[in-house]
Amino acid sequence: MASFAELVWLVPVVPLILSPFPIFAGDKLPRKGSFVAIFACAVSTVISAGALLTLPSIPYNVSVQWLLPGTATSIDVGFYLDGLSALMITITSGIATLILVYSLEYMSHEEGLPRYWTEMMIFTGSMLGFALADSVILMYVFWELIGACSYLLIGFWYTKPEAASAAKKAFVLVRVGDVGFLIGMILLYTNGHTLNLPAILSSPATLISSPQMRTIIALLVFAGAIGKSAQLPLFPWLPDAMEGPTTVSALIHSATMVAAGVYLVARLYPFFQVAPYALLVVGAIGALSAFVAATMGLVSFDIKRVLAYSTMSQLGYMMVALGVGAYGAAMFHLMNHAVFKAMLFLSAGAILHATGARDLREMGGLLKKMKVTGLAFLIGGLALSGIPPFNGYFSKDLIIGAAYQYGLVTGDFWIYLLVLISALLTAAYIFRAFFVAFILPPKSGATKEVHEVSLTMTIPMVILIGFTLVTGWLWSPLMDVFQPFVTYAASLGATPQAPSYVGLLTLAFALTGIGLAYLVYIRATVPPERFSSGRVLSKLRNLIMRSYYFDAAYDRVAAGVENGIALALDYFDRFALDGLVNGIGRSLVKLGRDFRSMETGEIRNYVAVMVIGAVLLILLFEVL
Amino acid sequence: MRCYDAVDFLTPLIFFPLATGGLLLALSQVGNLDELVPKIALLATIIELLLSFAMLSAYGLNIYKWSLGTFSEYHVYYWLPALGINLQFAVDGISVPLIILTAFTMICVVLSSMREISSRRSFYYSLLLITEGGIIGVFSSLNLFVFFIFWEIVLIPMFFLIGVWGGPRREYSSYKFLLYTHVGSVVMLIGIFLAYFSTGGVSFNMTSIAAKLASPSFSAVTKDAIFGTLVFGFLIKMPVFPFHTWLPDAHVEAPSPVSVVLASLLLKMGGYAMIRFAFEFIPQVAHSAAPFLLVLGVISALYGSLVAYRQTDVKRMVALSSISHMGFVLIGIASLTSIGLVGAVFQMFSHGIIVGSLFLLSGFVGESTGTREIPRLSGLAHWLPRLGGFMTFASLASVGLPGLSGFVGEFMIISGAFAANVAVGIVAAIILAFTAGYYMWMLQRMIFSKPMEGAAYRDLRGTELAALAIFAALIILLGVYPGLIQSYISPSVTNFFHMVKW
Repeated sequence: MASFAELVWLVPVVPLILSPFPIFAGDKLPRKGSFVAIFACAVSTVISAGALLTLPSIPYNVSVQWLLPGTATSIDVGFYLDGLSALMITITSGIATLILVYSLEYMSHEEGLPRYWTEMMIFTGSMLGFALADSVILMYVFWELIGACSYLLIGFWYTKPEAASAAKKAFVLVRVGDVGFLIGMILLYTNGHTLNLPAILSSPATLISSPQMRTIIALLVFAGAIGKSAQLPLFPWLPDAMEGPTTVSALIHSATMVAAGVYLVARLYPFFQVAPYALLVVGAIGALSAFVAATMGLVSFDIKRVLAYSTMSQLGYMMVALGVGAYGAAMFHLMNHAVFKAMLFLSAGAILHATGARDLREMGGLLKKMKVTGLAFLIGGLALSGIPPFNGYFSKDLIIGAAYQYGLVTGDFWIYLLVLISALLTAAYIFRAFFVAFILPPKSGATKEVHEVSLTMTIPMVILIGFTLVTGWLWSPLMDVFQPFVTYAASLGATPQAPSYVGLLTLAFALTGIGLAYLVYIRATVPPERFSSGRVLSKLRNLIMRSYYFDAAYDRVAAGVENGIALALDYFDRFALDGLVNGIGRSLVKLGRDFRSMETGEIRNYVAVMVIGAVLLILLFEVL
Repeated sequence: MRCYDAVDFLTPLIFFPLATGGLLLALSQVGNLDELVPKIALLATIIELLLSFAMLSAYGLNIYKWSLGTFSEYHVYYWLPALGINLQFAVDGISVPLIILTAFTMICVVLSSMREISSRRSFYYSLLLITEGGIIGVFSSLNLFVFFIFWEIVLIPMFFLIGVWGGPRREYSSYKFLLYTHVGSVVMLIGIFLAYFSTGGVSFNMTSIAAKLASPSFSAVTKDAIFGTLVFGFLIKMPVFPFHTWLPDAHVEAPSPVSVVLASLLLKMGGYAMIRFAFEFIPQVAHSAAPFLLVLGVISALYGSLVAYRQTDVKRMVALSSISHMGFVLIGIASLTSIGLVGAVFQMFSHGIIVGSLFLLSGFVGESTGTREIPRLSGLAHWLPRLGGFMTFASLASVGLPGLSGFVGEFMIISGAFAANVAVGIVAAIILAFTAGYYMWMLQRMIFSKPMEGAAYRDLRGTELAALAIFAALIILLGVYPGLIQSYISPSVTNFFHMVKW
């Protein structure tokens, strides 16, 4: 019997190959082809998990020549299975399967379901292919397919102008980062003459001998990660992407699209390590994003947007981990975050399904009516805040500890400070949402008729609750099976461990955040309005509410292209350039008016003239 | 007449459509064939495709070496030997993909014409077939004079196709098309005669002229003049900024199948000729002119994409994006790198199938809804789901989504551009973001968003759907497995670069 490693190519291929079925035959299949999608992702999950558990001791790599075969610079594509990729495909396929099961009920009343299933399959398959790819170009191919599918899925309700606009924004902003990735990849190819991962990972410093060039390439590749992982400054697509179905948000925010950016850096980590300053930039962008996103999460009233900003913030934590040399902790947080964030989104989706509300102000008292949903949100919130024993605690503690150690070594403590303050803000914003939606009495009567969603939707949530309780222990004082597993090269180094008082301080900050939310919203010691009164505070709030004017700036740029340079060039094209052409033409026409009598309009005559001309020409040459 | 080879598929490939077209034209004068003629034309284009496959299967059997490379399949028929005018047909890895492209595209053109063209059908289809023969003749002629004749043969049917079946401003557009490109042809003809007489007036054969031009004793000024005049004609045909203004007008007025011929095939004549009759023909001059052409290519690519932003007519927008994509082709050629040139040829093929679908779709939008103005359209996907799906697919292909054919060519061209000049490479890569911008914006406004007040619009079906499906299948096939085409292009390009020693 073939081993799981030999079957691993099926993991992305099964969803991709089966993806046309729902859209072309969905109307004839039971439930619009949903079972094809669930079956495909379940197969991927089984193979992935099998490969994860029976991982060969050396990386399993199969590739074929794709472009320019037979030359010294041929471009190969194939699959590369090691601890890191095995982990990623297991997370992705597992969570995708749960989300698809949940969609059975959640999406059942929508039009265009065949399209939904097909796009979800391509989306998941692309992410799986991205994780398994053994060359940078294949990673780029799947990377872009992920982007295109997210475009289609965010715009699923395309008749809503907001959804159509959000989809475009997601595609174009991410594409801006992707141009960096593309240039970086091409520089890697033109300087190093290969794009194969084994070659790049084994000796990155000899592949590209110039350190400056290594930094340039690393930063350009990271630009792609900034776009996909919604880090500063390319994040505004992420909150807008909430216009898509909640299941799509759950998939995008847990194990696929945004995780791809972190995974890209993690996959190429040996290259980043030999690129001077590159990891510093990664850490700095991550820390700033973590903080900025946390502040935006505090002021948002849309429960999905709160979660979206929390994603951006948590991805910032992962980038920080990569930046401060805690590679293992970044992947650990990626896994834990994928689990609890999927759960939070499924919970928010259940609220939306039951009440039709996304605005926190329209909710209230939901815990009594939706016990499983409430429990999922609470546990997800605790995990997100970094409260033991939930999985988020373990990874976040490692990251903040590593940031502290980084401060000790380099003397730069600002990354540590930013992530520490963000830990407080994180706990505050998620519990603000929890208290308002689930505990506080409803402000209007809108939530009276609410009851818990059906089993199809609660079972995935319950499974995720289970994982939230379990996965954290994989790297804890009890055992450390996680880090050695994903460390695919000795150069990656072990995650720096901080003294235990650093962890206690982090925990204190998180608890303070929860306490603040409790004081403000439950005890109402300080009414929330107080935080937006006064000139400075209201200005600050305004700044944050407008997402630090990034949106406005991008709109300006787009308008500048459209109404500035494009308009000018269009006028130039129509009037100056074409005017010149027509001017010359008109004067020629005047000249030709004398020959007008010959233009009879009869096509037969034209053809006759043509033939006679050709014959004369030939005769002329014959004579010559 | 003499033929070197027992299996010659190339000659019928050129003359079969010409003959069928001529026959139809003659028969239509006798009786009314309008009901039958679309089927005959479809059959003829399918036979043509089979012939081109037959040629592929024989590809590589009959090698002809010349100073700058090799041709597989080389056939000579003596026509006017006293003047050095002979029918010399040959193909290599650069022309073979384009011939296959022509054969596929013409099937789609005929399929998509079946419903749209209802008047004077015999005349229409015979013109299409003559055009097909002419285009394949251009892609396979080695004799400069014969090459020029085929080049002109294509022009005249196209003039009628736009002028007779075009939109409201068809006369203006068709004359502009004819006159503008004819100016290019005349200048080109001067170059051809210059090449002929300056090399002793013995032969129009490209390979023998090239050998004489390559001699160090040959006057450099004459060589520059030959190169300049030829390139001028090719730049108009491609078209490259600032010689492109005939293209948007011609496209807007032409019926959509004719737009497809124009964009998918005619522009490729310019790109192909640029490679064969400029860069391969006079490589010494090409080497020194390349930086200039490289800059022109970048300007063209950037200019086309920026002007496309402002277009309200979706067909005009596609036309301008076409200029942008052909700018990429020029970048690839002028990068003087092997990967860039392979990319340029690949891009020509891929652009042919992508822009073909886009013109069919944008033409269909106008036909179904009565307008092509993007601001007046909204939420079409709701009424026309098939159109919405294909339009989204083709737009993603056009913005170079990996996994679809557009990406492969762009990747190779940008790699070549980086090797030639880093700044050019960076600009070329940034253009990709612009392209994404205007295509996505068009989709957002026209295909998505709130559905406009509904009448019962007709969605794609039947032969139109078949044509688009053929294009879509090719786009995916070449995106997933580019080796199908690239394996033909690379050996010829490698050989050329090996010989030319730039």
